[in-house]
Parts: sequence; C-alpha cells; structure tokens
Amino acid sequence: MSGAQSVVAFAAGVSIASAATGASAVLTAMPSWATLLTGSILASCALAGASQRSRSFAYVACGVCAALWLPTSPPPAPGTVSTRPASTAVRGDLFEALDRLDSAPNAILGSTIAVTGTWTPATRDDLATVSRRVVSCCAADAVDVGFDVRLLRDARVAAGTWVRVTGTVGERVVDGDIRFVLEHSHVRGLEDAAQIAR
Amino acid sequence: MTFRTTTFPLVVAAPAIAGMLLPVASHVDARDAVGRIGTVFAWWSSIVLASLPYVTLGALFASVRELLPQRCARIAALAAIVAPGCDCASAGYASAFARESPALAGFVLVWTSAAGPAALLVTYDALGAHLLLARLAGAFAAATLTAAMWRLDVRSARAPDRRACQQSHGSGSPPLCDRIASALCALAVSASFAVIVMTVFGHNSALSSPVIAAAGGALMSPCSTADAVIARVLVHRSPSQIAFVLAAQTIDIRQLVTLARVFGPRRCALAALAGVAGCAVGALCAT
Repeated sequence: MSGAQSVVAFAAGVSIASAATGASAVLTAMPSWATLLTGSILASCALAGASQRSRSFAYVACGVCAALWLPTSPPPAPGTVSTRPASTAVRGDLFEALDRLDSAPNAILGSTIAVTGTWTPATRDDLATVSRRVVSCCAADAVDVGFDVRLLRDARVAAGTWVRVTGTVGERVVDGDIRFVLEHSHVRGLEDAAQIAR
Repeated sequence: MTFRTTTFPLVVAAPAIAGMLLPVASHVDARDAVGRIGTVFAWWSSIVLASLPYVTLGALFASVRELLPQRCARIAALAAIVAPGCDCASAGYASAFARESPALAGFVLVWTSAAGPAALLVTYDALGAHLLLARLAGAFAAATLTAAMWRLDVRSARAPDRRACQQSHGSGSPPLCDRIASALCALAVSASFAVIVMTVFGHNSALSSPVIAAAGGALMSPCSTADAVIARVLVHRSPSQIAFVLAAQTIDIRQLVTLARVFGPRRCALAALAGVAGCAVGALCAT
C-alpha cells in the first residue's frame, strides 16, 4: 500500500466521520451529504486495488479517530467584528441596516434602529458588539459583521446569546477607520427566536 | 511531483506552530494557548475539509480526461472553464493539462481560478458590476500573459511531460489516489500558510494600498467563492479590493504550489509574473 493510498484512506475516514458528527457542517459551508459522498468516493479509491485491505481500513479508522477531535461548535472568526456590509445575498435586519449605511449613510445616521444578532460583551479595550457571521466557504473564511454597541444601562448578557439591540446609529473613528455604533442602546435576549433567525 | 510521505506530517505540524505564536506583549497563559492552538487547528482543518469535495471532483475529472482521445483537449478545457465551484478543484485537475499545449494549460488554469462562474457571481453580489468587469479584465490579462509566456518558454518545454509520466507511474499507486494525495498535500501547505497569516494579522488589518492588498490576498489565499466577501469587509478602496481578489487566485500560495507541482518552478514563476500584471490591470480598471 502506497503513501498516497494511506492519505486518501485517512481523508476518507475524516470526511465520513466529520459528516456524521456534524463537524463538517460547523466548519464548512458544504452540506453534510456532500462531505459524506466525498468520503465514500475516497474510501472506494483507497480500497480499490489495495493489496493490503486491512491496512487501508486501519487508515480509514485513524481518519475517523482524528475527526472526533474536530470541533462541533463554530470556532471564532479570524479578526474582529467589521461594521462594513459583507454581501447583499444574505438577508436579515442587521445586513439590511449595514447595506443602507453603505449606500446612503446620511439617511440612517442619527435614526433609531433595531437589529438582531449574536452578542459579544464589552472588554477593557473594545465596545460590546451585535454581529452576524457570513461563512462563504469554510470557518477560516468567516467574517463577523455588525455594530459596536454602547448600552444606555449596564446589562449582563452572556457571550454568544442571540439578542435584539435597539439604539441610535452613530459613527466613531478607530485607528483611522470609521466604525458604526448603536448609541444609547437597549439589549434583549431572544432565545426562542435564535433557531428561526439562523 | 508525486506524493511524498514525509511532507504530510510537516504540513500538519505547521498550524500547531502557528498557534504557538502568542502575542509577545501579553502574558503566557497555558489555557489561553491551548484554546488558541485549538482555534488555529479548526481553521486549518476547515480549509482542508472544505476543499476535499472539490479536489476529489477535480481528480476524477482529470482521470476521465485521460480516457478521452487527445483531440478532446478543447472540450476538457471548456468543461474546466464553465465548471461551477471552488478553485480548489484545479489542484485536482491541473495534471490533466500537463500534456496539453502550454498556452492552453496556462490560460485554463489561471482563468478558472480567477474568473470561475461562482467567483464571478460572488464578486457581482459583493462588489458590484464595475468591479466584476475589473476582475474579468485582470483575470483575462493574467491568463493570456501566462499562456503567451508558457508558449514562448522553450527551456521547460520537456519537463511537464516527465512530470506527467511521474504522476501516472511514479509512486506505484493508482493515478487517482496519487492525484488526490498530491493535491491535498499542496492544499495543506497553503492552508498552513493561510492560518499562520491569519493568526499573526487576523482579518482586521487595514489593507489600504493595492500592493499591500495583493500581498495579503496572496498570503491568505482565500477560496474564489469567499475572496470578494473578504475584500469588501477588509479592503476599503476599489483598486485594492480587485488587487486582493486577483492576487488571491493568481499569485496565491495554493495556485503557485499547484503550478510548481505539475509544471515546474520556472513556469510557476512565469505564471506569478503574469498574475502580478493581471492584478495591476484589474486595479487600473477599478480606478
């Protein structure tokens, strides 16, 4: 059995197991059935013509074990939350607000809007944010877009909670870059709406 | 280049090393470091996992192409150009063009990466019609320049034949397995570079000038279905956005590793030069 067949057998194991555990759905934009189908094709490639089938199966099993280490919850996106729109194809009140800000900022600056997204609490250096994630291909390509949030009253909301934030749209300059912020905001948790909105 | 068994452990180790690149100014916290390595590993595996279906499809396409008569080369080229999906597929099918005319191979491989149907659709959606035209102009310039330079390049004319032969018979494994393993290896290398760059710079660097944006795109090498979205978020001016997306497909590590693997370092360097020219043309059209 060659090195190439070992790698293909290993990749087959990873594909099949990641589709089964849900890791592929979390890490990529590819539907699970496509990952499963890929794994099956790779497995048949590795096993076809293999002189030592038991070794091929061992490599598939190694791939399955390796896939069990893959995360089943989304990893953080590289970089911080951007307040620029990412794409017009994705729908939601937050994306629509960012699109309107991009095309005609003066029409929306100073007005009060409500947006839904994932909550990230403030840190010592950064404001809190409400954001949505855009995954085009894989977790490494993911970008978080949304608004900085300045709360009217202090609120304790856990990171990652699905929330609705109402506030006045303003702008601020951070490191020479304009960022949009929701001033005098109120935040409300939306546990039930999370599944529907996502 | 046939698949090398020693390469895989090296590329698997790379993201772990990247994860250890902790911010110098902060204190070293073991739990934080483990979490960071886990995140970097998740990014790396997501790139490789997302590319697997496309690599497999590309390698299957290359194997089917070998069964067809030689005169079907143009049909195969057309199929590659109009194939939907990610540019990762080209890592799988690049070897199918190793025995074609250099001009055809150069044009198809650069054009399909930079201006595939999915990439054009995402560019129109994220960046608008004007920048879509700029992308098309830059991609056409890069592809035609690559084709012209590969055609004129006499010195490496015989090398691809030898490589193609090695790819079919070099490792003693079925050609399809060899193709998939070699392509995966190339993608794993570029994924390692990408996660190192993301760990060090993140997606929040200010890529203001076209040159810096092109360097960022080349090092991050995002997929052709994601580059326009990242460019809209990360890069603020139109010429820089186009330089970013074109560099991410024509002079990125994934593309260059694939070209070097199949066509040799000399043709890879010529394609990189053409890619730089394509970025310049695209940036000028976007102004």
